[in-house]
Amino acid sequence: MSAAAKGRPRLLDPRALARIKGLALRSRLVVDGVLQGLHKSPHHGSSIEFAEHKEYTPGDDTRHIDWKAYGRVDKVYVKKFEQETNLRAFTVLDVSASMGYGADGALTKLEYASVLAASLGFLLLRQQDALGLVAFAGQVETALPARARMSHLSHFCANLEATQARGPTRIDVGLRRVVEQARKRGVVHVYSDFFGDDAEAFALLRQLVTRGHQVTVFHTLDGEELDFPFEEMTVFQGMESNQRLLVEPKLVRDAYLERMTTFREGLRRRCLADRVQYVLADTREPPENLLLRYLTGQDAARGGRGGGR
Amino acid sequence: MRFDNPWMLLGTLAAAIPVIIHLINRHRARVRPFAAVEFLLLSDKRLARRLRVRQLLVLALRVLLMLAIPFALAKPYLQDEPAPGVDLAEPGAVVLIVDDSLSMQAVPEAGADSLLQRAVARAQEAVEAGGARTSFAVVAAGLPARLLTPGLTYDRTTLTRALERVVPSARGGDMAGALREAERVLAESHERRRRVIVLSDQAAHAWAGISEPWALADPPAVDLVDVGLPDAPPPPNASVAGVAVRPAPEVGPGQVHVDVTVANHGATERDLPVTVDLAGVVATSSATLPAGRRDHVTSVLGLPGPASGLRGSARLPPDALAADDTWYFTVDFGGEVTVGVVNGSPRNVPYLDELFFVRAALEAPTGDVARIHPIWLTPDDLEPGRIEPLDALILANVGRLTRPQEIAVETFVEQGGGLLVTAGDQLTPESSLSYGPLLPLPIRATKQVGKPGDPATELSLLRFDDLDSEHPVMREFAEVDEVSLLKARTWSYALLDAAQREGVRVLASFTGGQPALVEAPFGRGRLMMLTTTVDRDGSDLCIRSSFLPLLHQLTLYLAGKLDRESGESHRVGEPAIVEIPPGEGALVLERPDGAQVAIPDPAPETKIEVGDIDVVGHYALRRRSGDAAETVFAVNADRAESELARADLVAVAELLRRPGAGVAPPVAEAEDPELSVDAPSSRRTRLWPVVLVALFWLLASEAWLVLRS
Repeated sequence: MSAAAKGRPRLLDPRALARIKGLALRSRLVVDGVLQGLHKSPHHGSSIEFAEHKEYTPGDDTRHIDWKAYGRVDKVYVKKFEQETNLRAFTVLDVSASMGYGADGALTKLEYASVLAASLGFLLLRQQDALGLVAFAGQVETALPARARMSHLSHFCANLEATQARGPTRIDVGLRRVVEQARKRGVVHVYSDFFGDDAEAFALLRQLVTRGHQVTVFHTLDGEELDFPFEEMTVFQGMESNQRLLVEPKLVRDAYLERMTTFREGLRRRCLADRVQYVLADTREPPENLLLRYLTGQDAARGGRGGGR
Repeated sequence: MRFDNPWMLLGTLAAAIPVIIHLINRHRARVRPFAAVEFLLLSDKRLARRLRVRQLLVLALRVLLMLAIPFALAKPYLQDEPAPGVDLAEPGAVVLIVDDSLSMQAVPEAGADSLLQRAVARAQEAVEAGGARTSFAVVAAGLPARLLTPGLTYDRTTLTRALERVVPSARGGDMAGALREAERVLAESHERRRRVIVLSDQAAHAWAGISEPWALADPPAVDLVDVGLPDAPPPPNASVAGVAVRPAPEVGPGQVHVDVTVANHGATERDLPVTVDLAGVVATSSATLPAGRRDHVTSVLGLPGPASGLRGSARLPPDALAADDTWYFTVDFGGEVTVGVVNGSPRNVPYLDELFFVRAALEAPTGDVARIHPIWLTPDDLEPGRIEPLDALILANVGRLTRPQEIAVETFVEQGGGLLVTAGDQLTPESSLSYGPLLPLPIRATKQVGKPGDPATELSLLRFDDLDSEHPVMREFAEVDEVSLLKARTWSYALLDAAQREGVRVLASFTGGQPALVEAPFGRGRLMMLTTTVDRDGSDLCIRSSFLPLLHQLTLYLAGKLDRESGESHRVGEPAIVEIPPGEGALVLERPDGAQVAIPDPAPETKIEVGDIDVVGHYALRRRSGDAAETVFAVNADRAESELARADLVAVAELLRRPGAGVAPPVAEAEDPELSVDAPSSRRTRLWPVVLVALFWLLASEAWLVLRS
């Protein structure tokens, strides 16, 4: 009996996902898995409060027609809910050169983050939330204002696909744009490897949290960056600098892993201190698995998966 | 350091392999873009330095590993100077062979101790390092090899005194004798641990000619100690290798040629000035000699007096080995030659007497190198006691010898005397029987080819022809134009049998080829025959001006004074057999250092063996009675010692491992069974086990470092 037959979501191997062309299709597959997982999940997400009625106009979802009101006033109204009208989600995506790194045959960090962002965007748009995008490197590369239309998703995906990893990492640049645009409370998803100076970035993150935004940091790292599995003598070349380093990997592995762990743990602690949710996005993990953990709150409950590693 | 398998050292080239691999890896290292390169930059410089050091350490260990493997396979060992005392503290018997031959007087560096001083010092160190149960003996290896201690002894004072007696000498080397002496001494020991330490310059000549160093089948262990500078080339050395003096009548009376043989034993060409001093007459000449060559330098000197017992020397400027720069020689062409002349046909009329012209010739004073003293005898005087003191004997027309006379004359000639037989009417073919082997060739017939003063036979008369100008007797006539000897006419002569006799030499022939003057060796002496007369009965030779010098030359030649090159010498360390000076009474030997040694008179012997010759120079043997007559002889060092090139010690060590054929005497049971194992013939410290241990540790260290990485 297969896992699907048992009702468990069929997880997509990121390497298999990498062979699928097109972000929309990738995210759709991921979302399918997520929805399947959510259906089985005992957690049904946050409740949505009723806000007001709106006279029906073509294009409104017929599922939200208030048939009782129609019976009383003989006019067709549709229900409007509180979140639906107020939630604005911003995807802040790091497209610096370091995000272009990926193990052979696997998704790059940028591709992986894009899949996550597109999948979450689909889910948000599906529940009438507005979705915006800020892609940054040394500067803001792409900025899409938040829109709640489902057709906005294709625009969203097209922008993500057209983005190339290049330039330095300036997280503060991307966050500052969000701070300027996101006046109302909403959701901010930050996808980055945080290989840059993040002192000002955390100030901006705190500012967003203070405004009532639900901020989540997807710390996107490749599996090779996490485990440093190299064996042969290698010349490592920086992706955001011209630094070259001839290294016998066996000799430096311990020191590297120690520094990497310190870095991740430090980032996680700062996130927790600033009430920012920290999610380690390991590109070897199936994206729907990661999203399920995120959406069902498992990651928040454990303080982020990365903290346990 | 030496190696059993030196060719294995080629494997050390493999030490380049780790370095090459490292360099190749650097080139082949894959370039990989990496986002987290900042984490690799290792801002912690201490860690970076540590890692770099570790990398270099691993590389160094791998290089050392690759070096150590062939190094160990090459089986290195140390065979150096044995550092006497290292194992001498163990109970055992040790013979110290100290080479005191001439070459040990060499000084390897200016101002440094001589090799002999170094050898004695090393021997003293060995004695001091010896344990209380180590017995020593000291053997000097100069010719002849001498045991300087009363066998093996534990008494350090005795040993020190023995070593103090090892002084510079001009002796030759007698390493073979020294080894045999050491073996003999050790054979008397009951110790299982028996050792010989050879302290020498290890010159090649010291070991030359030794093929069977041991007599017994159980040779002792040998340490070869080179007291020179093993890594330095031999010091430059030149020597006077010999002197020969011969008369130079062609130059003038009393003149001699002095041929000095000089040798350059060094590695570079040298100009060698040679100074010859012959009884105060000095001549200087020079020679330019390439490396390793020898040559003759000839000087002509006038004799300052009679050529008897003159002392001379040939010198070179002093060099690293000064002891071989002087050669001592004597010039002795006889002084006085006593010749007995037997008249076989005496006449009452003096001018008709057989010896009329001979007497005149032999009694005439001349400028010869030796004075001739004739003694006039009759055939009846041919007795052993009468003719034994003579140097030469002339039998003039003696027709027959009795058997005792023949034996007496034979004995005289066999012992070195000279005999001249001249023909005449008494000497017939029948005489050959009574002469036995005393005639160079038997007489076949007597011939009469004419009469003196008869014009009819004038053309039939014979003349001397075809002189052997190379012969010492004829050499004086060789350069004289129209020599009167060739004008002498002969009308009666003895025709000799042409039968072959070994060593016969014809000095002169008559026209027609008949022998006129013939020589043959006999024992240590020589026989000559003039086939015509020495009076006017058969020839007018006796009235020719050549007669006198011819007779003098014949007499000197028969006495052995003419063809002998003077200047000969004896070798240090070997007994010299010399003639006893005339007179009576005890003998005294005066040594070069002025010391006088009394020697009993061995009368009636005419020669004596003189031992105790241990220094170079002139020795004089004379009567204690104060008689002026003396026998002077020169003693020089063996010039084989002048060659300072070193022997191949590996080959020498191999030679010394060769056991003899004799059976070793039984030895008491050893306390320590390990000592029964054959000891190596020279000290060897094997290094390869140490290298193997080091190899293991290198391997372990490398593995630990790699695993730790």
